[in-house]
This record gives sequence, structure tokens and C-alpha cells, in this order.
Amino acid sequence: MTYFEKIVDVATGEEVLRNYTAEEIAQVEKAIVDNETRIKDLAIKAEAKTALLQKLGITEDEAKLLLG
Amino acid sequence: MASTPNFNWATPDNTGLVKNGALDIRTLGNAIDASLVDLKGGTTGQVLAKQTNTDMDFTWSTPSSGMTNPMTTTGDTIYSSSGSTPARLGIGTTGQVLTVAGGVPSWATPSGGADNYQLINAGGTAATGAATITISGISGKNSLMIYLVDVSAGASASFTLRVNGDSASNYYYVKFGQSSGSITTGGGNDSAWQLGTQGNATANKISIGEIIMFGCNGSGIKTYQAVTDTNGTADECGVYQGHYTGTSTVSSISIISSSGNFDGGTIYVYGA
Repeated sequence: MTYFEKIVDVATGEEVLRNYTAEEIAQVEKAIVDNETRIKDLAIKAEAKTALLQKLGITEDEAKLLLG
Repeated sequence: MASTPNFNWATPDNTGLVKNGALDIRTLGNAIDASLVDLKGGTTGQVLAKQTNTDMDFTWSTPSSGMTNPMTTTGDTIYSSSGSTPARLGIGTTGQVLTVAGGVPSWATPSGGADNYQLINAGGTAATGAATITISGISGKNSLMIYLVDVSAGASASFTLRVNGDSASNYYYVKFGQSSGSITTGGGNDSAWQLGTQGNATANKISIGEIIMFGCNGSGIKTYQAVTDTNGTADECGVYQGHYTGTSTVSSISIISSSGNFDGGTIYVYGA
């Protein structure tokens, strides 16, 4: 994947597209991996929550009442 | 021979002979005549002025006319008009301030310093095709308002704001927000200001974001406040406030996506 910086100079109207440096690309790719991990974790937690609610036979709102 | 005490004109001694009286009187008269020679002459209206520091050294001269006072009313002031010509500036009204218009002073009602925000990136800048969108060439703007509309990148992308391309840890902030229904708080210092996080779906986006920056045209710290709202099932929204310790005036701002190129939305930058 190629990443860019778009620079719009409001004084001249000039627009330049700059390629990300290797260091910047590494930062972006690390952030993407971190985000994917976070999304997977959220999905696993959501599935576990749904399964627990089904096992208990209550809704999410009823669970909130119990915890409240 | 005796003499007068101030000008040292010769006068007869007490023991002088009467027969010499005529000569003595003539001698004294000639001395007085010589001393007063500078008083001779002159014309009507002239005044006597000292020519040198020497006693009795005078000259006749025409006095300068001086300045004709143009003031007529309490509060009037005088200013130079057309070079050395004095002119009257009548007093202004309560609350007016002295200013310059057309090269001369005048009293004017102050504007009050109201901010007048104007769009500086005409039509807005599309948030597409790049992971960093930089608006450069900013000058003379002490306040900036950045308006994000439907800005999106990858799922769960974090969006940040950077000043003058400075990636040092000069950005301080505190956050209050919500994520997936839970209150979130945070803060610290970082290499950019936090603006918010896109929901965890690629279809999510920052539907509205409002960022205000102050102190941009000074050498002191710059402050910011941001409110962003992301749509989507796991939507995020946040309120941010902080400051930036860089001392240069703000000439560029960058909106950065942590997760790759932006794929939609528009960034509007207003300055005042």
C-alpha cells in the first residue's frame, strides 16, 4: 500500500502529493495491525456477551438492571 | 583716568582741570557713541537681537512670525498638515481612538476586534488519496477553525492534528468522550493533538468535527478545542482541549489518519 501526504498551499493554490517515508509507512502499518487486533477483540467480547445473555435467558437491558 | 563701572567709559578724575572739560566730555561721548553703534539703523518692526556674546554687540533682525494657533475648542489638538502647516484636529467622541487615515491623524470608533472568520482553503480540501492532509501557506491568522465533514479512513482510524509539521511531543491534551456506550477519558502529551477515532467499521466516519485553535499568530503557546462525532454502531465522540508549546506562528496544519489514506470527506479551514 502506498501512503501520501497531500499538501495544499492556500497562498499559491499549489497542491503537492508527497510519498510517505519508510518510517511513516511503518507507523501506519503498525497502527493498522493494532486496529485490526482491537476490532477482533471487540468482536470476541461481543460474541461472549451475547452467549452469556442467551445462557442466562435475559436481555442486555435486564443485565444492566442487575448490575445497576 | 576714572571710568564708568559697567562699560569702562573714560570720565574726568575728581582732580581734573576745568580747562580739559571739553575734551573729557568729547572723549566720554565718543566712547558712548562707539558702544551704541549697533543700535543705529534697523527698520520698522525689526527687533534687536544679540549677534555674539560680546557686550553691546547687537543686530537688527526681523522676528519670525511664529505659529498661528489653530485650536478653537477644548480638546483640540494640533498636527502638521502639508509639511509644516499646523492644522486643527477637533476632539473625537467618547470611546473613539486616535488613528491614521490618509496619512493624517483622526479620531475613529474602534472596530472592537471582532473575529471575522473567512474560509482560507477555497471550496474545502477533499480528504481523499492521502493519509495526511496538510493545509499550508497560512499567515496572519490568530484563530483557526477547522471543520471536518464526513471524514473517514480505515476502520478504527485515529485522527490527529499537527502544527507546522512538528512531530515532537509538544502537544498536550485532555479528552472526555464515549466509545461503544462507555465514557472514556484520557490525556497526556503526544506528537499530535487527538481529534477522535473512527468507528470500527470502514463505513463509519467523523460526521462532524469542529476544531478551534487560538494564539496561532503569536510566539506563545497555541491552544485548541475539538469536538468530533463519529457515526456507526460502535460510534465514538470526544471533546478535547489542549495546548501546543511550539513558538513559531502557525503556517500549516495537518489532519492525519493513523490507518492509511483518507477515503472520504472534506476539510474546511477558516481563519481570522
